[in-house]
Amino acid sequence: MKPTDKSTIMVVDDTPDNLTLLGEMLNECGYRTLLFPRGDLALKAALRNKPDLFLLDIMMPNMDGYQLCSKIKEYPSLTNIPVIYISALDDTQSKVTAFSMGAVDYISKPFQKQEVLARVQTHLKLQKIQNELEIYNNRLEEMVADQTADLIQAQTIAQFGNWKHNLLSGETNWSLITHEIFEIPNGNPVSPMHLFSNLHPDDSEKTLKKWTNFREDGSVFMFNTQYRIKFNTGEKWIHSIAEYQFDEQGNKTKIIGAVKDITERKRYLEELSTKNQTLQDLAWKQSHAFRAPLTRIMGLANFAIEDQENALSCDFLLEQIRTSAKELDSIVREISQQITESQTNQSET
Amino acid sequence: MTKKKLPEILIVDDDPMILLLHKLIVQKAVPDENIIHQFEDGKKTLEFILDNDAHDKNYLILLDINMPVMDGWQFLDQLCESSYVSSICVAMVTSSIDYRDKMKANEYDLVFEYIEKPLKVDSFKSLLEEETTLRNC
Repeated sequence: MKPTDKSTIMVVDDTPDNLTLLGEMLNECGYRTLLFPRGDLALKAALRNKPDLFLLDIMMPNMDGYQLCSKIKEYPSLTNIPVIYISALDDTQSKVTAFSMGAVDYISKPFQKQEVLARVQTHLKLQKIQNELEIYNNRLEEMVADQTADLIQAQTIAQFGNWKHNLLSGETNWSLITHEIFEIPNGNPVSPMHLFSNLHPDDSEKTLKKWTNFREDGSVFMFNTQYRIKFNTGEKWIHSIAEYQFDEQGNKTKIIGAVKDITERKRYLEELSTKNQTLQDLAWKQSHAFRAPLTRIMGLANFAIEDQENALSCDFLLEQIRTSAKELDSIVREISQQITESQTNQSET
Repeated sequence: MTKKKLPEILIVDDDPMILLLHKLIVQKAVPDENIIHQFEDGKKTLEFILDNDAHDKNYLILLDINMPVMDGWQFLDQLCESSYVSSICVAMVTSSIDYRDKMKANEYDLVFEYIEKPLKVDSFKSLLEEETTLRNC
């Protein structure tokens, strides 16, 4: 039975023969050993140089095995190192006390070599797995913390607030951004209904109706709406989305929500819409300006063709057509000039 | 066969050339010059109608939209608010190709047709027939 790596076993026993025997036995199997006849000396050495496992006798003068184990468990650097008792005390109470002190195993004297080695190896393996698991857990925690920090930063950049409401406990949690959007200091108790405090009168009925449907209608699983909230500083447009979270049995357990202050976007869209309307009106106005002389030209031409009684002289018609064409030409020139001026102004800006 | 009574034709447009052209076109279908009247805005047209209002009066108005003083829409609104007894039919004759103007024209019961300028002799003759049919309904 050879260990895969050279682990260090600290053996503490006041009987020199036992120490020698255990030391030789473990060395033969490739372990490094640190042998101590007294608990206090062993503790000092362990604090300087951590072993991978303790093998402790119980009955020793000055500091017995229980006391040593209790001391070992007091030091954070040693507390996770497995302790195995190896003792002549064979009664149940001694074993129960040993385990309650934090030991992982108990070997009765006289011991069998194979048994000692098997138990040592098993506990070293377990310890190794536990250490790896701890490292893995720490890494996982770091990754989760890292991703949470990224998410919070991304939400802060996007000014996205999130919240959740536990339907079983009734507890509600808002993110910092959500508190900021709704101007409620972080730490103040909140509920989902705080999302609808001071609703703009024009949005109140429709918003609350949608929320009631979401909460009471079993076939509605999503709440998605935009509404205005009145604050002392003015009003804000809020885009609010919420969805249910379910357990494995399909029962609703939580409401997960996201909110965004879309006031700026709304203002921008409104401005865009006004500008668009102005542009449209201008286009219609221009088209009308074009159409007036154009319809005159078409009307005069139609009349020239259809006028068999010569009600208007050819010279008159041609002169009128030329006047209208000139009018059309000056409109086109004016528009061209306006475009050029606008382009110059833009490039100067 | 009794000859159907023709309506009086009111041509309303702020463009003097269009007024002249429309008058000549109307004259081709309605030789009686006494029943053709020309106005350069809605206000003068409205005053004429109300001053001459009578049960036996029939008017077919060829109405432009964009005019100074009182535009075509203002004219229609004020006419609707006035109490008159004459029989009136309005055809919008305009250079506007704005679909919103066409939609708005549909909202007035008085308006039975929307024609884009320039008016032609044939389209005016159709208007006249349509007006007569409507009046005799």
